[in-house]
Amino acid sequence: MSRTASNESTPDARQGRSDFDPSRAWDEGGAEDVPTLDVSYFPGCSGHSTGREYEQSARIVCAALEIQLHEIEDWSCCGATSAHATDEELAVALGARNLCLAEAQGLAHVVTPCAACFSRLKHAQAHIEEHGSPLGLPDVTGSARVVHLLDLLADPGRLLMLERLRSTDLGALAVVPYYGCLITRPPAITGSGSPENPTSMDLILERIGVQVKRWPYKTRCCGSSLAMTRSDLVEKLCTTLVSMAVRAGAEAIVAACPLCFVNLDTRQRGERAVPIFYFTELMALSMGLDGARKTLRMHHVSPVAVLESKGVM
Amino acid sequence: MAPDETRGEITPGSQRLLSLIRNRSGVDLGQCFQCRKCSAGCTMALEVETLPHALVRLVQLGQEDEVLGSNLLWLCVSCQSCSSRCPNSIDLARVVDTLRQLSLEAGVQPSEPEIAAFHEVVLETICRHGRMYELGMIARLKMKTGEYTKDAGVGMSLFRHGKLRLLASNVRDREQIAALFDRGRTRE
Repeated sequence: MSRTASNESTPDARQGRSDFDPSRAWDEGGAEDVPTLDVSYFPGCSGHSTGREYEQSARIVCAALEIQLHEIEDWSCCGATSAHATDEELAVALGARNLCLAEAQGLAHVVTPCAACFSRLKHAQAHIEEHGSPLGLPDVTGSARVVHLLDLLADPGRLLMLERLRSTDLGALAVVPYYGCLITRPPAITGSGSPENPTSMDLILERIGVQVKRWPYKTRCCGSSLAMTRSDLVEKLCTTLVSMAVRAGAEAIVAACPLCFVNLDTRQRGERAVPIFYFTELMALSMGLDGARKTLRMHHVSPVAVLESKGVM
Repeated sequence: MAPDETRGEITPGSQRLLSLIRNRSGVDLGQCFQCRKCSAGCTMALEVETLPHALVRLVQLGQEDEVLGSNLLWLCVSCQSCSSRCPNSIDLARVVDTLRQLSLEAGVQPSEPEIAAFHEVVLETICRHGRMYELGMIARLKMKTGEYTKDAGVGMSLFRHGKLRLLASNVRDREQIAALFDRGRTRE
């Protein structure tokens, strides 16, 4: 079956199933048979600033796994929290503008690494399906399906490729997967079939030779947009998350959102600083990709010591 | 939350806020039977004066001033736990957005002025550049709040690691962005 077949959408598709359906993207076979995938790419504003590690590692990982990222021409900010907090119409319009540009690229999927961007684009897509394009934007159908990078990389075909390309032993580094809020919630918008206990990142981490510890805070909030205003509250939330990770036996926390990452990396106030990784950084390290180590020097809490203790660096 | 805040009768006069929310957000808070799952999972449960289930009850009772002045409207981080767990599928996070917008429109003084200022400068920045420009946004926020030294440590660390660009990255079609913002404003 061709990968563009996943373009179909039914109302059911939004009620508990991701918009990226691996069974449609790839008929089971060997890792050699996994097709190259072309997707529209929405990097989000943090890609060139606070989330540089994520953007750089995501790009090299996608290239290694034969996913071509076609950056949306002249993309703009999704509006993030501030737009939907204060102006619903503006929030929809800012998300929809990007979906209009993506649809013009004619690809089946729009992929974004940021959980907040993912959420806003999904909300805009739901709006377009129900009411059409907001005024002032071209007429579109919302046919380009919005997918979070995690779902794209956790499909069985890519996992097989990942296993085959794995070359570096990560020394059984003990980690907890942290999904945060907006990758799975609310499920009516995200299509998550398991909003309380997502497993896509677990699947990836299990393939690259790290120990995945169980913990109860997979989807607990980091405080997100309050970081700059009520940093006291964000520090509390992040410190609680980090101390629970330590109690679970983790040496590091793995994130899949640039906002979660920055909050955990810079706002934890526990006795011992715990390094945070993007899941794509660990994937890049395990495949021994060029540039995999470069991003590790951009962290606030340096992960170098823990990686050295595992013989990785 | 004092327990007696949630007691009372729904009278015809109390329906105004309920129907206003229904019209604006499409969500019917009349469906709430006070199971308190929203409050049990609320990220900000320990910080807010009125828990989410109590806010809903106050809406049902038509207590507009208390609802629109609640600090929950500003401390809510939109984590979507309440909306995901409600047994009656009430999208409460959406309602909180709607109530915040109603409180701004009604000219209610935000209980957390810094958070309100943050949203304002973020949107000003997006309107101007089409994308986030952190340094510009931070400068505007500091001018608004007067908190010049707050967070200097984290800011320096981000800067040292090359995570705060000196120059903004601008969208080419800024006219279109400005038009989207203008349309949003004409409604107000």
